[in-house]
Amino acid sequence: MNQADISKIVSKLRIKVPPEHRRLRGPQGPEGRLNKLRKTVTGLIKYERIELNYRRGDEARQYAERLISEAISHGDCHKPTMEIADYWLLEKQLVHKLFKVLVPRYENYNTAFTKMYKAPQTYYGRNIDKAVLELRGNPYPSLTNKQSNNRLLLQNVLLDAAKYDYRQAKYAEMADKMSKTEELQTKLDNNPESKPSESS
Amino acid sequence: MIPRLTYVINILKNLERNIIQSFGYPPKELALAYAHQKQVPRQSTKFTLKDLVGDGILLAVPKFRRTVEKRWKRKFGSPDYVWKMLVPKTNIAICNECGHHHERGRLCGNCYKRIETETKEIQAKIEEKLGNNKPIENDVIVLYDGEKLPDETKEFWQGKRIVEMKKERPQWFSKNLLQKTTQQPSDSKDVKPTDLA
Amino acid sequence: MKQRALSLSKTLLLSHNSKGLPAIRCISTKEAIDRRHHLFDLEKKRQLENIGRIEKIEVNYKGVPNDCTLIMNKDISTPYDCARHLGEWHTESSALALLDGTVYWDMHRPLTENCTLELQRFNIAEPQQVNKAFWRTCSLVLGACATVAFKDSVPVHLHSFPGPDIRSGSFIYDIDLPTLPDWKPTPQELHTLSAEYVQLCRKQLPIERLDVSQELALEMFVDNQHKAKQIPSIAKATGKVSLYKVDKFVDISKGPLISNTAQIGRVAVTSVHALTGSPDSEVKKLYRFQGVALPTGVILNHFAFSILTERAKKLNSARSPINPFADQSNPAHESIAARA
Repeated sequence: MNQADISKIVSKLRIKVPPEHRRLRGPQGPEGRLNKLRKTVTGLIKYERIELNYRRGDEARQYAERLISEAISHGDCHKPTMEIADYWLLEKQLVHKLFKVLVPRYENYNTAFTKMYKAPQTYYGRNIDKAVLELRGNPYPSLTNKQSNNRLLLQNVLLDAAKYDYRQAKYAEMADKMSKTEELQTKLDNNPESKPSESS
Repeated sequence: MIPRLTYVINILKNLERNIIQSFGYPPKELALAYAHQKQVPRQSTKFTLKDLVGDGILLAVPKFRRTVEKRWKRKFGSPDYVWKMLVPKTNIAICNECGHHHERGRLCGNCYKRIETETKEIQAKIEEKLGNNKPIENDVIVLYDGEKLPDETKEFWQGKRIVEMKKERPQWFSKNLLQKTTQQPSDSKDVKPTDLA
Repeated sequence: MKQRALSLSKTLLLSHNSKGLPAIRCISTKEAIDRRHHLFDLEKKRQLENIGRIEKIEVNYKGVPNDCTLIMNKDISTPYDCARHLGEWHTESSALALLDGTVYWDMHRPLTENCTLELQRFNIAEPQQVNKAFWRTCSLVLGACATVAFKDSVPVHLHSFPGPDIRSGSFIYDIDLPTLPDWKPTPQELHTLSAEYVQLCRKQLPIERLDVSQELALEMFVDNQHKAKQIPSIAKATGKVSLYKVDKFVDISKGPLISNTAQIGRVAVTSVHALTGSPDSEVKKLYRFQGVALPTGVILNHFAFSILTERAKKLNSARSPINPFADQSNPAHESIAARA
């Protein structure tokens, strides 16, 4: 059965998008949910790092990623994309920011455009999971403490040395192959030269 | 409507009866017909225990013995629903940077507090300096006291929004962040993503 | 057991001057280990008693969670004790101590004077020295595991291990097995060795250090001729030989080692290669045991670790102690051991 290639029609986001959205119950119902998410996405684009409840942050993240990926793939001359941006971004200066700042920033990214962290829990009270949602590449101090990229850690030293070894072996192999082919070539060149001399 | 009518009629009747009783009855000789009303002496209304208990008080009472399983279920709960026992938290890790405890998978509270205050300051500065009315067309670069812009062509810096914080760079905010914005200008083709997790 | 060791040491002391004692050769590996361990304990006790009046030193701790000053006992308190004041995490995660920003110190080695202390973990920004200490410890423990793993009928004479070279991909111990002239370990045997190693690590044994005089060191290693030959050159520099003990197993090593075998995480003894000596050296054949290890807590998937083990299987090209260079007349085995 030939399945049409829909990968170009709908952008595949680099975050997990569940099949059903959260309802985010409120007095205004589904419309209120969308309004709230609009405000959240506007805030995210504007401030580039916001603190909010985990559930709303997760939903807003999906919409923000979709917005940015649409902007990247279609650009600002595309009318439907402009309408989407107009709907989602309540402050119109941010539409400029989206197309002129964020698109060039995220054009060549292989990863998602946003990052969400779980904030520390508040004890002695009603605990609602809080999160920090931010756009990657923001100018603020980083929230990750990840040290695993440190090239001096033991595992990284060992792996780098193994990689170097492997590459050296490969280069040697390739050099060997090249020299062998050259030898063969020279042999072949020599043979036809000798033949006419013999015949003559 | 009708209940109201009967209500009014009842009131009138009561009124009539009260008036006649208060003013006394007319003499018997004048009456057309009268009924003998036996003055039944009212019994003394003493309330004894027998009246209370009498045949017995009807109270709710357990019909069957509560099984030990049910007792346990009430006391301890169930892991499928609500577990009523205290469960030790085994997901507490120690932050490498500051040595404080935090839940694994979440941000370290101590580190986050410090970064949060700094972020809010920068955000406030951006709002204050760059305003909210003009269309935003460039990235923001944050510079601290005594810092110069990295070496780049003047065209690169034109239009870039620079925010100067009037304080020293905190030790934990590394300068390398600037490298992201000091990427080569757009005419070079091999721009690599710098933010791989 | 103690009496036996004592009697042995007495006979040896009495006949110290006479050479070529057949009695020494009759000591089994196990007995030799016990004897060494016993002598180590005695010496440690003696050194502790020698201190006399306990003096106090100020140790300025710098680091996480906050800088503080600790008042510790001179020549008795170790950086491990300082870590205990700070918290359990500090005791478990610190592998090495850095004094005054320059000298790397073992965690269980007593501090001698006022200093600035920093505790080094495996995931700090500059872990080069910690990694080297880790590699050295792995070699030492490999020697321990080899002495324990072989049957009593096979005498195991540890020769030496060279200085740590992490980029080579494996840590080494050169061992002399006189009764096994041609031995090629089967994968099963290597697996058993690795299992022994892991068992040793899971016992969570602290690694203690002791500086002893040359004579006592020679006494302790009387059964091991290779070590006995290395000791004079090792002691040349300072007159003292630094010994490390890991639960009954005592060995010689120069540099700092990590604090506890529990800090050795994933480990594999990958291969054993035979090194033939040059015709004029005394030792004809040495077996080079090779392995690779990672600290506890390092998460690496099995494929990446398999890459490391495959690489560690290849013969490590570190200098062989019995045949260092073809043209070098002076066998440099002592300098290798001295550097380890």
